[in-house]
Order: sequence, then C-alpha cells, then structure tokens
Amino acid sequence: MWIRIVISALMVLAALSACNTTGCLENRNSVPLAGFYASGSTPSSISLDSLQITGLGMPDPLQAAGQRISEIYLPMRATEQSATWLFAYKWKAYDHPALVDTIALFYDSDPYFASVECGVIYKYHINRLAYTTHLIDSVVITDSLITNTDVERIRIYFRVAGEEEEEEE
Amino acid sequence: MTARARILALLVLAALLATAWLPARAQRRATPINSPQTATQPINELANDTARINARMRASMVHFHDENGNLIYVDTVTGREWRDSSAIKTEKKKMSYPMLQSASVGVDVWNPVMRAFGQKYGLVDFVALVNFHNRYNVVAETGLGLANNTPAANNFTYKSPLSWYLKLGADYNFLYNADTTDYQFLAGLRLGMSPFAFRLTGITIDPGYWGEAAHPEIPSQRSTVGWLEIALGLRVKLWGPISAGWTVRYHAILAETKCKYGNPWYIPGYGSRHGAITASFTFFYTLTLSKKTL
Repeated sequence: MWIRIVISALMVLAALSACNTTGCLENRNSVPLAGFYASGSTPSSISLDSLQITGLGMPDPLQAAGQRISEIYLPMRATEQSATWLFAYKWKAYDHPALVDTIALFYDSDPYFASVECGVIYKYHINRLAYTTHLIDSVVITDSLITNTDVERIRIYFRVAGEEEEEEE
Repeated sequence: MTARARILALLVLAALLATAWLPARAQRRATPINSPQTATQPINELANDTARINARMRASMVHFHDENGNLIYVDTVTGREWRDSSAIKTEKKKMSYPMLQSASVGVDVWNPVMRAFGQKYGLVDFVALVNFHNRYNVVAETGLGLANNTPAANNFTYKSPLSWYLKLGADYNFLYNADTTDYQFLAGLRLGMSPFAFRLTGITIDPGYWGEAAHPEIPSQRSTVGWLEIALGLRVKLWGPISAGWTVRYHAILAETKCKYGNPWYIPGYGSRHGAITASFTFFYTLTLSKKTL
C-alpha cells in the first residue's frame, strides 16, 4: 500500500518538473525610467500636464500634452550611441520654441541574454549627459547602467515657481 | 500531700501503665517452631533458582572464551563444560546482504521522452552504480546534451552544441534489510559539473518609438557549471535482471563561469536553469555479485 503512495507522490513531483517557467517578470526592453521633481531645498515629486516630449528628428511625440504625468520611460536608440529628447511646455507663457529644453544621453550598448522568457535586450552604459536649463533645473543619473529592470534611473528637476506653478502632488 | 498532688500522681501512674500495656497488647505472640521442616524450607524453595545455581558453578569452576567469544566454564573434577548462557550476547545483524551485493548500469529515458513532447534540450543519460550491503549505492552518471530553441513570441534562437556532463554521488536504500532486493526506496546526493558552449542567433530587438530594429549577434560563449542534487527515488524489479527506477531531483547551481552576454539557459545534465525540480526514469541491468547471507 505504501509503495503505491510513494509512487503516486513521485509521479506528482515529476509532473511538477514540467512547471518551470514563470514568464518574463521584467521589461522586455531596456528603457530608463525618468521621474519629475521640483527643484529646491527639499525636492519632491511633481506631475505635469502640459508637457510634450518628442525624440529629436521624430514626427510624433513620445508624450503629448494634456495628460498628467510624474514619470516617463525614455527609450534609447539601439542602432545609435546617443538619444536626444525635446521637452516642450504647452502652457501659455512658456509655449515658445526658444524655451524648449533638450536632454541628450550618450552611451555604449551591448546585447545581453536576459532569460529565455524575456529574451535578448540591450544593456546601455550612460557615459555622458547634456541638457539645457530653461525650465529644467538639473538632471541626475542615479544609475548609469540601464537594464530591463523597472527602476527609476533618471531624475529631472524642474524650476517650479510663480503664478504658473503647477500643482505639486 | 495535697489533693491536687495526689490526683497528679495517679494520672502519671495511669499513663505509665498504659504505655506498658498497649504495646504488649498489639504484639502478636509467636512461638517459634524449630523443626527439620522449617530448617530445610528455604533451602528447598531456592534449590531450583537458576541464578544461585549458576553463581555456585561460576565460583567452583575455571573458565575460558572459545573461538566464538562464548564464556565456557569447566568443572575440573568431572571435566564437564558449561556455557554461561547469561554471558551470551545476542547480536542483531546490521546487514543482511554482503558488502558487494550487485552492480548495475542503466539508461535514462526521461529526456528522450520529454523531447518527444516538445522539450527543446537534452539527449541521452547513462548511470552506473555499485550496491554495497543492499544499503548504499555509489553512483556515477554521465551523458550528452544539446539545445536548440526558438521560443514562441520571442526574439532569438538559443543553440548549445553537444556537450557532456558528469555526476557523482551516493544513494541510501531504506529497505536494506528487506527479504528481497527487488524493491529499493532511495534518497541520495549528487555533485554534477558540465563544460559547454552556447550562442544566440536570429536576434531582433524591437524597433520601438525610434522605428529602428536592431539585429545583434551574441557570439559563442563557454561556461562551466557545478551543481548539487538531492534525489528521492523508487526502484523496482521488472523481470530477471531488468529493473526500473523513478527519481525526482531537486537541484541548485553552486558555481558557474561568469559570461559577458548573460547566463546560459540550458546546462547539460542539469536541464533548464529555471527549473528547481527535475525527474528521471531509468532502466537498469543488474549483475548480482553475491547471494544473500543468512
């Protein structure tokens, strides 16, 4: 009798050996997450609703104005070694080409086999950063190695002051 | 003498008489009987007491240990030998089977069967073991493995050429003193290692927002992996020298080569990296080396 129980238990355990995959729990691409913060002595997270973000040379915006956002994924260019983003402010007093901020990331990239579930991705090593400072106060790279894990790696600090100040969240 | 003093003296006298009288009253008077019957009664009652008999014999005899370790007493007068049964140690046998009980070779059919059901790796595995006392199996496992996998809805083809592996270990048979060697319930450990190579081809990185698809190549990388297995299994005789064993294994990687372009997915002898539990089903041919000792 106990032999049958042991055999049945072993068969169940062996069947469990087929249940190995859990799917891709990370991103399927390496895309850095950028968060928005208000500059000041005690920086705090903010959300902006009239911000339009477009890749340099691209016809369509990555993020159109009208939606309130406090963070955004900025995809890198797999076939190049830099990516430049244009930040246009669609508020009345700031909607002018001269006030458009740019953020440029320069990096090296290597292919990387993340897992059989997530596939092959690129790992990006950011080695230089350049940006303008119209409404952007500063940009900080918290982690220069960009992988497919969902972690904030870029912080963009905006000048937030006066009657046109956006709500802080 | 005052009346009080007279009364006190009478009370003391009464107390003294009571203490003398009461014990005398409680004591049973027994008249001892000394007769030949009572004199021999204790001797007769203990005449057959084995412990006393043996003690008298030990005191009056010389003794020695025979070749089996038994304590033998010898009556020097009559020459009679007597084995002290109380000194005999009855020892329960630890092993019912001889040291070199049997040797077996086997082939694992788990991977070939799973490949028939769509598994994209593995090839063939062999086992050799020597059975000691029907209790301990010293085991060596070896085999070949390869992989060729293009996962659905993914962006690459994973290839690993034919590579070998080796596992060494031991099993413990909980049924070691059974009347038959036809059944074994085993638990064991293995240490395994495998050197192998792998590469990825046909890679397509999603164009995404920028509209630029990339097609990188990950060159062939070499890796060596070492791991530990804990096995639990059952083995039963099918017919004659042929038996079959079903084993479930938990394994964990102990050490591996660090690869620049990512860790390998398939490890020969181990299986898929992300599976903690695997199984095997093996057919054995057993050569009996010794018969059972009684």
